Amino acid sequence: MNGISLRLYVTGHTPSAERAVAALADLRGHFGGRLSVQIIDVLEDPVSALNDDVYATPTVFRITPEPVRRLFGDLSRKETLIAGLGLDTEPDQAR
Amino acid sequence: MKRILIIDDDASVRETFLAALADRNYALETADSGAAGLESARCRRPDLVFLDLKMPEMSGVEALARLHAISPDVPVYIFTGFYRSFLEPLKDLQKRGITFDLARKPLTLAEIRAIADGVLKHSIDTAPPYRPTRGSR
Repeated sequence: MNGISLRLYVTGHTPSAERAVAALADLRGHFGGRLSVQIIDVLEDPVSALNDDVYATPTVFRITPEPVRRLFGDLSRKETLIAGLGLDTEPDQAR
Repeated sequence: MKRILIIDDDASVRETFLAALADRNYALETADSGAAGLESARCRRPDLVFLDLKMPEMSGVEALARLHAISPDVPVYIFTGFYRSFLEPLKDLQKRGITFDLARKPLTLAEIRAIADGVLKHSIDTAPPYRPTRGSR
């Protein structure tokens, strides 16, 4: 799989946000430099949350590779993120 | 059983939450004002609170500040429109160390279920396990 770009929406430093951030850090260890993560606080940038149709925080989006995927709920485990965001597909399928 | 407290002055919103979570194994309580919600939270600690931001008399901001004083570790979802004018008062709460998550209004039934299930999966069930007394069925 080529570059992976994720976007995480949070509201400050809630326990659920902290768990998601920790899991994404874990994911960085898994994918190395191929993974980039953007973290957006909805209180600071509600317009982006509206544009992405975020219904609650924390929510993570896979921006690339397309298609865009959204995952809300238990974001505390690396395995959940990989499966939920479809990051476990074969390289040819992900391009 | 984990307990969810829904605080909103709009009866239709409270009904929507009850409908969404009816088939889940949660204890559901509703309150039609911030004051009523705080009274409920004082009587028994909720495991999750859904709190409307815009309410008459006591706003969601004030209710959250008071709720935090009662139960600082209870997860709270404030539901509101994602607009700067609505969200600005919440920044002051954040600066005071009061944490909360946001949900936009209106929420679908599936979104309500996803939030409740997602949050409560990580909370400790504070209710004691059910133990039938001798002679009970």
